[in-house]
Amino acid sequence: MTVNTHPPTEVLADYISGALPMAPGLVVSAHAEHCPECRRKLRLLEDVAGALLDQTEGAPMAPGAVEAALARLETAAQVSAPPAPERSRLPDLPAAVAAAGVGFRRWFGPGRWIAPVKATRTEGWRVFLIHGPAGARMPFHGHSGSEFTCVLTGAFQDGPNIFRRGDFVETDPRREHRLEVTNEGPCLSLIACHGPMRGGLITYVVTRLFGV
Amino acid sequence: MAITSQQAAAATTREKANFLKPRLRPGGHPTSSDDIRRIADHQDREAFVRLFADYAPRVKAYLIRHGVTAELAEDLAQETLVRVWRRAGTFDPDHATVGAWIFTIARNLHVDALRREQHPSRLERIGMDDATEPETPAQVLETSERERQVHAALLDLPADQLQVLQMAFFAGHTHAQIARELGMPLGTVKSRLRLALARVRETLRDL
Repeated sequence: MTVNTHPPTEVLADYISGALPMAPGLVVSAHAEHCPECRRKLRLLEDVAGALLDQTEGAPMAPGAVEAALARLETAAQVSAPPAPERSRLPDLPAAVAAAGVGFRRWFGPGRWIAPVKATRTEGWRVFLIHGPAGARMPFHGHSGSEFTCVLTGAFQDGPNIFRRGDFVETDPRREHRLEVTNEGPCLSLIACHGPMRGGLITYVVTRLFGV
Repeated sequence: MAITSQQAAAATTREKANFLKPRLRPGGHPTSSDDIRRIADHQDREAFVRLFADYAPRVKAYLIRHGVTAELAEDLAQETLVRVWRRAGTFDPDHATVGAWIFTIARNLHVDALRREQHPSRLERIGMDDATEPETPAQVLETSERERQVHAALLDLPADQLQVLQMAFFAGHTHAQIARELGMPLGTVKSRLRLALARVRETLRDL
């Protein structure tokens, strides 16, 4: 069985249009950093959006608008490069995650921790990094909404499917999942989930990391 | 009198023709891409005025379609062009068309404005412009050629596919909202988006 490990086109379109909330958008960015194919699709969608902008009939600006803009240019310093993302103590984070900022890690045992990604807890979404050692079980339950995951390091297995570095996974919360970090090494994933979690975040995380 | 399907098709074609106005500047004039280069290299204010005339009204129209008030749309359109001035040095014509670049600036400002309404201190959306690497020369088409091809491909799209793209990029609807608005199954919206993109892509690949 082959499973899709890329965001579907309509999710990429929502990302480019700005309609996708920031939380799942971070997971899409993380995947795109690893995936030239999705970067090409995103660029294509941006080109399409740009062409639609080019072809649209403008709405007249107020009189004096261009003069007002010109006056503002005096004080608008030019920038030659985008600002460098905030340094993070966690190496190899996707640029978008590093730029958003990562909160303190909470440890639950050797090699088992979670850390919230800042500035993303809105519109009912949360984003966090979750780390487990080789062989850790992560049964999927206790959560009722959408969930997007991108594997950042290592790999995990869900039934017959193995998801590796860069893979994008959209899990169906109605299905029972039995996730397990593979024996190849520890696994770090970026997860965005939506909707209430039974028993709150800690219960959710503990069930995922320890298979309670 | 009932509208025949022929009349309906003619109306759609007209609508499409109205929407897809020719946008290229007359021959002999600098292109928008040249203007951005002039701003970056010489802080050329005349180039800025030309870009402003071309893009500020379009950005304003785009924002109004997203449900932004005319007053805020005016402010954000002005801010978009001021950012174009400030960031002209970061524009890479090998990576993006002018329209695509200005679209992402306007979108980020809009998303940011929405967030400020809900949450006072939110970060700007991270776009692909922040996570890119140069493509190999074989993948890089001459930008103006690419621009022309994307425009031509949009003109060739069936009306139903173009409509879905417009609702996505101009009304800022998610694919789920588009399905609700048009009263069609989610799967139909998804397949139209995929078909539209595949067609545009096919056109570019033919070059």
